[in-house]
Amino acid sequence: MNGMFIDTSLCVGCRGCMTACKSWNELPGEKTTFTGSLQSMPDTTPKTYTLIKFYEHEENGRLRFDFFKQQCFHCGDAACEKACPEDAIYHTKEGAVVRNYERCIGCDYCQKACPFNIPRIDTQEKKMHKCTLCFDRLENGEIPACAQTCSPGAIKYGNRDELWEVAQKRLAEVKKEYPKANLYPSDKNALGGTGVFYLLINEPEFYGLPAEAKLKTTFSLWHDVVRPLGKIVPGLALGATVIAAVTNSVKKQREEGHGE
Amino acid sequence: MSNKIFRFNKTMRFFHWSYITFYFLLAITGAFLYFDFLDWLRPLFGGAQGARIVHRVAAVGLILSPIISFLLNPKEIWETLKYAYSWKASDLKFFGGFIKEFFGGHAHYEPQGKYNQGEKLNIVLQSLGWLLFIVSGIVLWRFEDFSPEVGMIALIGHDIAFIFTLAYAIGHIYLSLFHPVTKPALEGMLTGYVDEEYAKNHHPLWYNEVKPVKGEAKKQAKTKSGFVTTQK
Ligand code: HEM
Repeated sequence: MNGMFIDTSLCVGCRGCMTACKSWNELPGEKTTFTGSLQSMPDTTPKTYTLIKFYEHEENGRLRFDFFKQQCFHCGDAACEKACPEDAIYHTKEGAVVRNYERCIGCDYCQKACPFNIPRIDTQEKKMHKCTLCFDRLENGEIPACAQTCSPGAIKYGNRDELWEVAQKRLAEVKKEYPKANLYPSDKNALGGTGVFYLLINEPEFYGLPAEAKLKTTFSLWHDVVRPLGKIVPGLALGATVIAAVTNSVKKQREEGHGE
Repeated sequence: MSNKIFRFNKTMRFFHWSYITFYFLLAITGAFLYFDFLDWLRPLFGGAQGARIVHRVAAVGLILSPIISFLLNPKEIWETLKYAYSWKASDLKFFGGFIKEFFGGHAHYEPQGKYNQGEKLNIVLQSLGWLLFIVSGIVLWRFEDFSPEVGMIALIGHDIAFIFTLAYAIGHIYLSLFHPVTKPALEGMLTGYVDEEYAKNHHPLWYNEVKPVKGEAKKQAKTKSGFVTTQK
């Protein structure tokens, strides 16, 4: 299985990946306003699948730019896929998590379920949009557009196990300069193995990521307890009425029998 | 022909049937997102998006039905709720007998008032369900405006309301349409009147308070428990 490794310590914030993504997926540019940061816009949108987030801050009297590439993690165990009431989200054989356009009704369950809040709904169109890992390029033996274009080599695409080795070596090197550096998810098999993983130079919380990459408790409660109950409890009620209908008619026949 | 006893006034009947209509529209259009086996009904509602719109329109009806009923006859609705929410420990004994009778056995109940404990539980569950449907449903309606955490909790709340109101409704429908012992009660919700025999046997405390006094054939007195049983 292939995967994508994003080494944020190498990112220079050029946003070439954002442009390549727009270009390959034929997405229009969007108006934005200057908010005091060099980050291009506040968040990803239905028309912007990936965003380089800028974290400008001062450290030891020096201005620093830290970057994070926001996009879908392509989880092996994808909450969005499980949450979708229309079975519109699925894994391609290359491991990309994608949405079937026809089936999607834009209900937004996927966004609520996602541990990283990635899916975006176009409320006019009533469809969900997010990074597709360029599954259409993968099918044709190409690598995702962002990985192809990244000139500092921060986005790498290839054999997942090999990339995980690369990531660990990089982590050991980077730790000298950035003691807080870590791999995210820290566990190779978290969320069923994410198709995308990161080397971060700050704690996950710094980027607004959950400290640990895992399914949300509320999602598990809903999906694994409440939803199954919804199928069992009304089923039990129906079963009880069927049994009662039988026992009552048996009783009636018996009483009629006695009468004769 | 046995005598008839007046049981449900126009407000109660309006409330019951309007609520059911909206409830079932909501249950079917909601179930499309819950189960797959009903999906063939979707074209009736104009497809997936049509069903989502019907769910929202019917939701307005479901919210308004009890409110309009309350405005029509505040006393009746208030007294009904007050009665349904008053419980004492010994009331629970009712359910042992009920389960026996449900499956065709014989049960001996303590004398019951206008509503027995099963009917009281129905009113309690459906009214709590109504609140839970509204609170969670409004979040689902404006899903994009709420955080993922609030959104997930609303989904859980909506599903819990769905599960318990639906399970109880299934039993309720069976009892009112098919169960030999309780079937006669349906007439009360259709015409307003039930058989005197039924009233005497099933709701003796209530019957004793409302039974026709000689010379006052149809007019019934206001009961001690405060129910307005007189026909306007
Ligand atoms: C005030 C009342 C209600 C409101 C405002 C409301 C609103 C909603 C909304 C907005 C959704 C999301 C569906 C979508 O985005 O297409 C939903 C889902 C749903 N509703 Fe309701 N609803 C109400 C009452 C009911 C009732 C009475 C039932 C059933 C008896 C019901 C059953 C469902 C079900 C089963 C779902 C799908 C939930 C899931 O996928 O887990 N709703 N409702």
